[in-house]
Amino acid sequence: MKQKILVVDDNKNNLMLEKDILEAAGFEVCEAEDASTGIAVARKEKPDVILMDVRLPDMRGTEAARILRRDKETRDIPIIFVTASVMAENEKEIKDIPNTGFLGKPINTRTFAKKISEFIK
Amino acid sequence: MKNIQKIFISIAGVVILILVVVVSVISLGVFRQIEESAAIRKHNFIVINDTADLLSELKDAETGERGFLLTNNKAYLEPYLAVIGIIPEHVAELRRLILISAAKKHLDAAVPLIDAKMAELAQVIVMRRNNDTASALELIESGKGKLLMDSIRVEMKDLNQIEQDALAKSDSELQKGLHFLFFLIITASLFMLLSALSLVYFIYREKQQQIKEIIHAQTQHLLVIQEETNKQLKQVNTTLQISEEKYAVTLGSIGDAVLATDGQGHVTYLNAVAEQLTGWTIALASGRPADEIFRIINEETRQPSISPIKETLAHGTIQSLANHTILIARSGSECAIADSCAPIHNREGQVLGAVLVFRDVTERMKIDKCLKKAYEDLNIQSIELKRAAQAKSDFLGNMSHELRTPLNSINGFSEVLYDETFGPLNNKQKIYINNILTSGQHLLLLINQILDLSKVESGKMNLSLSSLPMKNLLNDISLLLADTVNKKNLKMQLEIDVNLPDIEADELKVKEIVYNLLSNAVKFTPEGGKIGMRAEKTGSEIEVTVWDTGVGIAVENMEKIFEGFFRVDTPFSRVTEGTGLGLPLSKKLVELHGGKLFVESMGLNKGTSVKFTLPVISAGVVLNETKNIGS
Repeated sequence: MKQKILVVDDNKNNLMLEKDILEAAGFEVCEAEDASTGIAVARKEKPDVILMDVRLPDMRGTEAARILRRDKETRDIPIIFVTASVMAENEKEIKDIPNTGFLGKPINTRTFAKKISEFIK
Repeated sequence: MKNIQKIFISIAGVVILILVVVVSVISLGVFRQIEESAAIRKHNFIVINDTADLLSELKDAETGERGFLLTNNKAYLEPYLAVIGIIPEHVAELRRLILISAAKKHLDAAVPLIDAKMAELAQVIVMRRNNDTASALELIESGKGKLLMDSIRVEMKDLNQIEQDALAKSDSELQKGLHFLFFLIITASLFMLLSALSLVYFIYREKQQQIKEIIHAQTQHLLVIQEETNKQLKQVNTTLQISEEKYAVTLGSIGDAVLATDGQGHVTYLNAVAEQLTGWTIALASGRPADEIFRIINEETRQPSISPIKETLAHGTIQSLANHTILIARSGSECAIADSCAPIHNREGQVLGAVLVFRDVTERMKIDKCLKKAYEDLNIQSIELKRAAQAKSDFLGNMSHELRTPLNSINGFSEVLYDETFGPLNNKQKIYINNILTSGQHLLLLINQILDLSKVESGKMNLSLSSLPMKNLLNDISLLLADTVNKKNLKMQLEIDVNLPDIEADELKVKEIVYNLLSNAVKFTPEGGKIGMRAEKTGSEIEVTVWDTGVGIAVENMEKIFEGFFRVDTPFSRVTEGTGLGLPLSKKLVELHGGKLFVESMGLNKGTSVKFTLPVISAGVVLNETKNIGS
């Protein structure tokens, strides 16, 4: 059975890029363009991992992650923040959320899928 | 003087001693003489007594003989018989006793007479026993016996006389001796008393002399001390005078006004500045209450201020005026002053007066106001600067994010296309898409370096410290450049000390530093040249030098290379190569680790050498604990 990945990103181009790379690597990908949709999809689809942008139109990705952590059903889903915000304060923001990882944008398309596989292993 | 007295006393002592001895010896002699005289006297007595006894015995014998003759009673013979035996013994003893030759002659003359008398007595007694009384009477009547007896009496009397004379003589000698002895004792006693008195007198005199001398010496000593003290006092006075003059000059010449008062607050001194500020001269002010001379009011209330002099005199404490005090001069003109007032104490702590020091602070107040304004302006500017820095940081953060988001698409899609993941490209397409990718990557590098520089400058760059095996790390980085080195036909020399220790540092940053320096060396060295890296431990640091034989740096550009976006013009480097931020960023990152970075070049085309140090043990703190899974 294919592993399911939820990608949350408000930039359609990036969403497409990540989806294409991951599908090419053999993952099943579902997507959301804002945090609340992302949370809803996560509850419904129960993905194996969520790739979360930090700057989202309705709330910050980290805020969405906390909501997911409070929900029994989504509490244990690993979350990887894929963000173009690489300042120190952004790193602090995600530090205390359990079971999370970090990948800076722009992504390396050649290693992207491999790193995610390793993270959820 | 003292010695003579001592000698005198000694001689007197000796003389007295000799006298005592002499008197003792003489006394002994006299005493003996007296004893002798007494002995002789006693002897004379015995002789006189014995002579009388002998005569008495002879009379007893004769009496006894007469009694018997008359009565023929033998009882009358008893006295005769009693003495007849002892008379010769007595004669012999008397001879022994008599010492005077004249007396002895009389005894010797008496002895045959006694013997004859004894014989006559015996003859009469025999005749009577034989009852021949007639013959006996005849014999007695012949007077021979009486004659004999008379002769004996005469001799005995003479002997007695001689002995009596001798007795008288020794008596008188005894008397004489006793008198002499008495005289001697009295005289000696008197003399001794006298001597003792004189001695006491002399000792007294001597002691008195000694006391006098001691007093004299003490007096002399005191005089010397007094003289010395006088001298010192004089010196102290001179010093004091000089000091006073010095103080007067000092007080007169200092820039502050000085006003001194006595214990009652009357002015005793004003220096020139004080005269000028108060408008009073010392001649006029002297003795007046200080409040008259030093009139002060509060700048804002225009009410008289409390005089610091009064406070100081009352409490003996140092007083300072409140701010904004105005001094009103004699002429009525005003000036802002600052002052302080200190008490003058004597050694017992009594307040003898006060010294007030004050100065015109009109100018200073102006300056203070200016300074205060400048400070406020500066504070505003500082806040604005902080805000600007924050804005810059925010701007950079936003810019970085905004640029990264499209770059994610540009680079990502280019990469996927170039990798032909979804289908093949023709050659031209592949070259084009590679150009896009390369430009995108260059842009990303620029953004990253700008962001890093900004982070370091705003103090937001955190180090993620770990133990780095430097030997391996340096070798690994050099291998990353091996391709480029080979392509440019460069020779790379590595001199990495085998004892190079592991260091505590941020791995990514150290790699970035070394990579930047090595890639610069490769970039700015013409084909066929040499580059190299040297690393060793120096004390508590490691020192890494990256050198090349390349284009070098002109002296005039030595400063510029750290300013950013400066690139040495070189025919070997393309515009797209490098950002011009590598060296300044590396320097910042080295410094962030507590190390130093220097660039040396002998000049243009003479090669470059970049040396940096990193501490073995970092003083930094591990902050970044987020699991960065790499990008």
